[in-house]
Amino acid sequence: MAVPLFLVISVESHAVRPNVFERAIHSPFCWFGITVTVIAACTLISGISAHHELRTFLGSNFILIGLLTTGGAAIFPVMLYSTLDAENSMTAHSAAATENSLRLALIWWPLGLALAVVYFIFISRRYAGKVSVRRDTQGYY
Amino acid sequence: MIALWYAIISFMLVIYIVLDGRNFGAGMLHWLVARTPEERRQVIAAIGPLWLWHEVWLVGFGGTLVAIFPRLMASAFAGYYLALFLILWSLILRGVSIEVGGHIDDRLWQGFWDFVFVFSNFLLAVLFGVAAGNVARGVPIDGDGNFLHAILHEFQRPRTGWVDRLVHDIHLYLRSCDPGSSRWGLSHFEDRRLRTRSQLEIYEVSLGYGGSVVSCHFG
Repeated sequence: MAVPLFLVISVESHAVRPNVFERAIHSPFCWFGITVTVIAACTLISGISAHHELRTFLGSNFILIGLLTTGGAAIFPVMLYSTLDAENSMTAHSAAATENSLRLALIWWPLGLALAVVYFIFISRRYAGKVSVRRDTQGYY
Repeated sequence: MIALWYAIISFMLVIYIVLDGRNFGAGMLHWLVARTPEERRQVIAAIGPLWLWHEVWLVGFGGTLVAIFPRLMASAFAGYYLALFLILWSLILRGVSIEVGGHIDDRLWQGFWDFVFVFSNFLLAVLFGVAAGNVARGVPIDGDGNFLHAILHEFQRPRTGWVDRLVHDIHLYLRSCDPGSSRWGLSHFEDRRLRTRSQLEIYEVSLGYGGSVVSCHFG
């Protein structure tokens, strides 16, 4: 089911933005994304046929990661494409803050990332394993 | 430097979509995979401890976008005013429905919050799909970086408006319904019967939705 729908989406995207596909062909990140997608699709299919839940789960996640990587790399540097005039499009360069701000952000962003990662480690250890309605009581006091 | 920040922003968005996709799926299929109150309870329990952590990535993405690409944020928030407020309300309602649905042991009360839970998740998946469609298709942005995308008006325009967007919604919808997310979000249960039923119905819903999109496009 996903394959024909993916083809429909691709044709639609090509119809509205043909230049994105031309740009994607020349971008190594796009090829990386496509490679990830293909490998993940194979993993997903083998996971389904072998009834291997973890493999299926990882395959499905990496399909999405691969597709989004491909899409993100293909549209770069245009972040908001203008349908009125291509020159009005907002690129990463025109929309970015000053160089100073970007350097300063390299200090606080890793701190925020560290917090999110610690949160992730805590949550995944605390709620590891199968769901239990006796233990996971959120919303039911 | 700008390419690096573009990659960082993209990374945060990808993580959010991957993580929250399963919450959308659990929410949209809530009524289909869970028939009894106990089964509904299991669906909520599957995402209950996790959904807040997933939204951390959305908050992080928004905060980083404000700091790194302020012009983009200003234009997008002004132009997508209605859509972004619908997303905000859906996120709020989803959280509220999970938190307060079980507080009163009353069928009407719990039924109402179940409806809110399903509806807000469905709306979130559609609206994020709309956003993805708009990034691909482009917006009528002028030289000053201004545009106004009245979402309801756009939905009335055939072919160039809502159909294109609806097709892009499939990405997120399939993500919500695929076997991988069901493994984590729905089949991560102790009850094997529920797991089997959920997987079957996931495919049924995917087929139904896919069929409606294709018929909208070619019809």
